[in-house]
This record gives sequence, C-alpha cells and structure tokens, in this order.
Amino acid sequence: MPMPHPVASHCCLCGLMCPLNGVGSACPCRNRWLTEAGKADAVPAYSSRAAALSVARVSQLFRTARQPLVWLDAADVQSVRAAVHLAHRLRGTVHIGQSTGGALPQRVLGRQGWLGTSLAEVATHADLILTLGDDILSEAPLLPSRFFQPAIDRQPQAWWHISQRPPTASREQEPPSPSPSKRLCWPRKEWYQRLTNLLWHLRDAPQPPPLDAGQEALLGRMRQARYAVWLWDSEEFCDAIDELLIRRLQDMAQVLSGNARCSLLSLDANVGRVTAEETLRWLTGLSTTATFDGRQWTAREHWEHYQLDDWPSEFDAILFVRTVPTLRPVPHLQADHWLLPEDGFLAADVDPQTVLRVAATGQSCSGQLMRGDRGAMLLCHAENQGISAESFLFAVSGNLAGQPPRAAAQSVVEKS
Amino acid sequence: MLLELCNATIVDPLHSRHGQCDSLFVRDGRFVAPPRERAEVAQQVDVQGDLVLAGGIDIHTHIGGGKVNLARLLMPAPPTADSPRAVWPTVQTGERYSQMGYTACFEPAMLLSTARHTHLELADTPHLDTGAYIVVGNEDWLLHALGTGLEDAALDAYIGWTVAASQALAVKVVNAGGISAFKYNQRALDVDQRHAQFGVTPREMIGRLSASIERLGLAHPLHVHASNLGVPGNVDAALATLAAADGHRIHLTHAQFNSYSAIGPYGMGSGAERLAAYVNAHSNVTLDIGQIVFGQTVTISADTVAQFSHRRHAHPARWVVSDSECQAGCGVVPMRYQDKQYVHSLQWTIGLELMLLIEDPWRVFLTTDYPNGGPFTSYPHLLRLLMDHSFRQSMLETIHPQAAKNSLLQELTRELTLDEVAIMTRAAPAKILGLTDRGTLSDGALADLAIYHAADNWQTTFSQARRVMKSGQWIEHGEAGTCGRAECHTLRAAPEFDRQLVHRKFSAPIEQALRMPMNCLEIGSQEMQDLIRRPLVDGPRIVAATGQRGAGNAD
Repeated sequence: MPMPHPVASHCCLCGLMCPLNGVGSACPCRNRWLTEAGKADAVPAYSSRAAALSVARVSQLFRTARQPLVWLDAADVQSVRAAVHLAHRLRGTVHIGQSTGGALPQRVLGRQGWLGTSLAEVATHADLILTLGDDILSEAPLLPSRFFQPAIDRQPQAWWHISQRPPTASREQEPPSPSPSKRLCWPRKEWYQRLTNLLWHLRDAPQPPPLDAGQEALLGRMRQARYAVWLWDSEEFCDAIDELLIRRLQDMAQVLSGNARCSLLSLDANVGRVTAEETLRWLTGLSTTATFDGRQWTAREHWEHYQLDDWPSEFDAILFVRTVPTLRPVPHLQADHWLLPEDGFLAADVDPQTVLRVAATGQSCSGQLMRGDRGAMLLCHAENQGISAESFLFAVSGNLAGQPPRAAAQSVVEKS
Repeated sequence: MLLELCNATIVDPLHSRHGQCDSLFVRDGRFVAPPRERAEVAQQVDVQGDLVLAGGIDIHTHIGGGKVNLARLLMPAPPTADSPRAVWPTVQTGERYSQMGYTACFEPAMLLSTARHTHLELADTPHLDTGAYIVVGNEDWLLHALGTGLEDAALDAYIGWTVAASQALAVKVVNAGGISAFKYNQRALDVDQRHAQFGVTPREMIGRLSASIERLGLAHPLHVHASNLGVPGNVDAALATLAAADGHRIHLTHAQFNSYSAIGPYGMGSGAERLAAYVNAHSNVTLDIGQIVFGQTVTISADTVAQFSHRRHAHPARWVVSDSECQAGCGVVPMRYQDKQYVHSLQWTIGLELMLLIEDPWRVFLTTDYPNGGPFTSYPHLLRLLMDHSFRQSMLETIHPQAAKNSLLQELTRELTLDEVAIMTRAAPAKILGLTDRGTLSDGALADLAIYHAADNWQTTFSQARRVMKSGQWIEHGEAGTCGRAECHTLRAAPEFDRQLVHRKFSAPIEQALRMPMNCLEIGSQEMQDLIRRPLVDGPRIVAATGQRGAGNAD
C-alpha cells in the first residue's frame, strides 16, 4: 500500500513543528519572519545565468585557494552532504557556524553527564516544567500551548517560570497561551547563587544557606515532582558563567533523579544548524569543524576559540552557505561568496553581486530537518525551484574534478 | 558480462560444490551456473586457491541513528593505535566492514520518531546493504492499549504499520515495558511484574508481540533485548523471557549481557550453561552473543534503566541518559572493559561459553553488539578464539584469575570449524532475516562475496579480505570517501496491515503524545529514493505461518 507524504506543514523558525501555515497564522515568530522576508524585494532576483556564473566564480576561487573553507550556517542534510563532498575534494574545511549556546550543553555533557528528555515527553509525562530565561517564550511563542498545556491539564501547578524580567504588558499580538502557575523574577546575576543554594537543600546539607519564600516554594515543588524538566533557549545561555549555571541544573537533576525523574532540555530553535551539526558528525565524526587532510577528517583545537574575524586570517577562500531559513541575521563574515535562501536575511554590507539565492526550505525546497532538541525529524515537502545549494556545491565539485557542471549526484561521494 | 572466478576454494555449506576448488560464475550481479560455452566468459580472475565465502552479514550492530551520533559526540578524540575510535563515522564504518568481507549490516534499534535519521546514516554507509529493526514495546499509546484489552487484530495492524511506516525489516523490543516504567519512576520491571501505570507485564507483552509477528508473516522473529540487562542473576529473566514466547519464534539479542547468575565471587557468576541448555532444547529460539572485547568502547542502548544504572561506571566519566518521544529512551555510557577486572573477565568468558555450548550453528550469531561489547573489527580475533583452542587457553590465562578458574572454558575443547563459521556469519544470518537471496554462493544468489587468503592463524585470515564483491561489483578500498562504491539498498519488510484500524485505534493517542499527526512518521518509498538517497528492496514474508517454526537447519 503506498504511503502518503506527510501533510503537516512545518515551521523551521522555532523547531516546534506546528501545524500552522500561511500568512496571518497566529504565531508571532512566523509573522515576524514573513514581515522581514518581505523586505528582501530590493535584492536582485535569482536567475539561472547568475547561477552558472556563480558556479564558475566559486570554482575558480577554490581552484586557486590554499585553505578553502565552506561555512555552513544553517543547512539541510543534502547541502551538508554536498559541502562535505566538496571539502573532501578540495582537501578543505567545513565549519558549522556555531553559537556558544548550542555548544554549551555539549560541554556540560562532556564533563559531568546529561539527563535529557524531549518535548513529547514533557507534554506527556512532566508534572513540573521549569522554564529558565527570558527568550524561551519569545523564541518559541507556541511552546506553552503546544507542549505545556497537556501537563497543565494534568497538574495545574505544573509550570513555573524563572526569568529576570516580569511579563510584558502588551500581549495583543500573541496567541492565547497558558501562563505559568508561578513566576519567579530574579536578577540574572543572582541565578547561579540561588540555584546553588537550592542544590545545597536538595542534597540535605547540614547547614544549608537560607532561602527566600520563592526559593522555598520552588524547593518544595521540586521535591514533590515525579517528573521535572528544566527548559531554556540555548541561545540565551552562552558564556562561561552560563555554563556554570547549566551545570548546576545538571547537578540538581542528578540529585532529584535519585528518587524521581528530573531532566534537562535545551531548545535550539536553529534547526538548520542542528541539522548541519548532526550530519557533519555522522559523515566525519566531528561536530563543528572538520578538515580533510587527504587521509582522514580532523579538527584543530584552536578553531574552538575562533571569533568571526579570525577565520579569514587562516582561510583564503570562504563560501558561506545557508539553505534553511532562520530568524538569525547573516553573520558579518568576510566570505567571498554567499549562498542564501530566497528569503534569507542579508547583512547590509553583503555585495548582491556575489549572492546566489537558492530555494528555501519551508517554502520551496524539500529537505531534511532535525528538531532543535534532537527529539525527532520531520521531512518538509515542497517543490524545488531553481538550483538548490546541493546542486551548486556538486557543480563546483564537478568543475574542480574537471567534469562539466552537473546536477546533484546520488550521494555525497561520487563513484570514481 | 560473465565473470569467472577460477580456483576458488568454495566455503559454503549450502553450495553443491562446497569444499571444492572450482570456478564460480557471476553475471548481472548474481551467481550463475557454469556456461555451456567457455567463450561466454568475458573476464577471468584467478583466485589461486584462496577461500571464497559469501559476504558476511551482521544482524545486530549499532551503525546509524541518533544514539550512534550521540556516541560520536561523547567519544570524539582522534583515534590512536592504543585507543581506536569507539564509533566511526558512516563512511569508515562501511569501509571497515567491507575490508573484513561483510556486505550487509543491520541497525537493531530504530525509533519511529527518529527513523529518518537512522535511514540517513545508513544511506551514507557505503558498501553495505542495510536495514533496521523498529523498537516497540515502550510506547505510551501501545502500553495503554495493551493494558485496556487491545485485541489481536488491532495489535497486528499497529505492528504492521510501525514496520511499514519506518521502512523497517524487523521488530525489536527493548526491556519490554521497563523503559516506560522508568518514566513513571518505577526502577525495575521484572518479567512478571506489572507496569505501575499501564498494568501489563513483560511476559504478556513478549507473548503477544511474538505471536503478532508470526501472524504478520514477518521473516525475523521478535528480536528481544531482555529485562534486567546487566543485573546479577538476570539469566532467570532471560529464560523467563524466552518461555514467554510460548513456542513462537524468538531471538534473544546480546545474550551475554543477560547470562549472569547471582552465585559467584562478588555475587556474580556465569549463567551461560543454563541458557545454552535452554536454547539447545528449544528450536524456536535463536540468539546473538554480544561478546565483549577488552579495551575502550561506548555503550549505547534504548534501555535507559540499564544505562542510568551503568552511568556510575562510565569511563571516561561522561554520559547521556535521555527519554525519547514517549517511545523509548537513549543511554550512551563510555566503558573500558579491563582484563584484570573480575566482572569484565566474567563477561568475556560468558560470551565465548555461549558460542561454544550452543550446538546448532544455525541458531547462534557472532556479534559484539557494536559498540556495546566492542568494535566489530574484533570479529577476526573472536573467530580465532572460537576456532583455536590453544589460543583461547592462552588468552584465558591473561584475564582475572577467579573468572578464568570458574569458567567452563577450562573444559571446553570445541573448536568451531570453518563450515560453522560460514554458517554463523553468512548463511544463518541470511536465513534468520529471511534474506533468501544472499548468504550463499549458490546459483541465483546475490553476488556478494569475500576472498580470504588463508594465513597461519584465523585472525589474520579474516582481518582483511583480499577482495570483496558487492552485487557483482568489486569494491576497491581506498582513502575515506573515494573508494569505488557498489549500489546498495535498504532492506525492508512490507507487511500487510489494516490501515483504517490503526488510525481508528492509535491516531488520536499518537497525536496527543507527539503533538503531530501520525502520518508525519510515515516514510514513503519516494522519500527513501529522493531524499534519504537509498533505494528500497523488499525482504520476503513467511506466508501462512502455522504455529511453531524454529530456525532449525537449512531447508
């Protein structure tokens, strides 16, 4: 019996796979994106002649480069496969433009372990949801109605929110949404100490530090919970202090997991970056940056500390590739050439002559996307329009191999 | 084009000229009968008396999917000679298997929600036909339905749907009900213990699922990761699990991890003899070993209960234990098996005991449950242990002395023959998966083969095949990503099922749990072809199963 294609539309902006679609849908995140996308009219439209010229230009650029770099900002699986293929042929490097927020859970995981969960588990099993930070609700505005409501229906006191700012006064444009049963407003600089104090109490330390009323209430609630989850937006927690904070959450989860269940969930709305990272890892064994030395894929330690300005000093040819729309602005990278979705955002100083626009996932390109919590994958079906980034990259590879420009190959590595 | 392999020492108990030095003929990707006219032969390759076996088949190896990728995240250090990489990228996985002469491998733990990820990784694994087993038995919606009197027809429809939707080849259950119970803070679920929330027992689930698989006509039996993995005394759970199948075919996976008695030094001993005796007496039972290999590796499993417990032993001290989409869990815990440590030494002896005590080579399969027990590249070493008694005895002297002293390996003098190895690693895996077109060099079979030069020991012989052919094409092994590739496929079962019944019973609870329509989980053939980039091939179906059907001997 033939299997039908999945029919739920997908929004790749927050990673929640909502069933909403179209302009005017009740999602402020999506409306914001559509409004911004409308501003792209001033940029020259894509043409097939421009694509051929761009392929030739990039091929020439890489042919003469000593240290070529393919910078993947947010990409679908096919683009990453093609980029890895290109870097392999070039003896070059692939880098996933990584925020430190996305890397932070990996660092904590690598040092002390990680008790995790996924959004469906939160909806089905959680009796205590602890959201931390100001961005999680603005970056994923439908998170409470989509995933917290079932928990709230089971347990009205299920959702507690810790932030440094009180809720905004104006909510006319936001869809109806459940509210936290309890809000704790703590100055950001106090979070680490307050969480540490809670941890002392959870560990039944002999002389724990005093707690205020809010902390006492939170402590009591955590001790009652059978399945507690800490959630935050990954982009909001980036630096070394934030890392200590997340480690405190992991410490608390470990203590609570002695008698109940407690997990952490860092939501990464940049599904294109998560996709790129996962794909790079299974292809090369490396998550963020991989260079092919002719024998194997490796990474150089100093790249972990690189800022945007450092990359052009090491790499003499940079191709920037974004194939999945995201609300994040294009970084101010000194790239030589840019591949962007048709509705991608451009930095003001990017020369339109070097930009090749490709069909965007979510509107006119099919691709594989991974949800930001790595909980699931969803295929987005749509028609291909024009040349895809994958085809572009394989065309460049073909040029470098002395072959005529061609469409996308069946797999990352061609049969020689 | 007709290819002739001359002077091939044919090692294939299913072949009419098994054991003889003769020619094999390949045309259009298949073995064919000798031609009437010699002139038809377009190309001759003189194998010079080397051993020719069918391509190896690994029925249980974790090579693709979210857990595997998490393991790569946890173990990213560049490999060294002393510390080889615990989990390879996909290209190197395919390369290394192929170099050993393997041509088909199967990922044993795929979840509905992350099936696409699994298939993507398998598609990027070269030189191997692949497939995956869908994990059931811990879904909230299934457990609720079973606990409220789900009828057989609906169960069959659901199982058929999960296999079809995920493009799976077989069905696996991991710690039936136990992973789910842990989400309700129930820390153990023995075979006859009731799930605190849903009221079902693992015994009930195993019985119903194994029967359902037979009714659906799926070739591979229910593939079972038993309860209480790693717990001293768990051989009782393994035996109870096998009995729960009530005579239906059942496959116990990585049996070594479920073969512990509670009697012995440090409260732990070998239950291999009891388990092997049961297997020998029950023709409906098959198992794969899950042999451990000393050294650094990483354990990955959907069994969060076991992994949550094992995280204390993580080496290095980093790990992940996570619940997954109301279907199962995911635990990744690095492990270093040490030959001077009693429990690790005991585990090592148990795996070998099982391999040597089980009499029927058609019902026991060599695996390390890669990477849980160790790297698959250790198979040649393990084969030498099994085929060379004196080598085995010399290795026994290097492990923890109490484990060595108490082990049955002290008395077991059996050496597996080359015929038995060919069965265990080729013909039997093909049979147990229902892959009638491979695992043999006989006419009509897929031309997957490996040529080995007989060295002075079996480890050297099997470490590197001289040449490997996949679907009639020679594989040229080279630097990562540039080797010549044969076209490979994803093998799937395609059971018939009542779609309307599945939707009536399960679409609402699945959508309630996952917050997306049920059909989002369905992977179509076109999607496999165009986006995942791996064409599908249907595995066979056993038609009109009539009760017990053991794996038994070759038909």
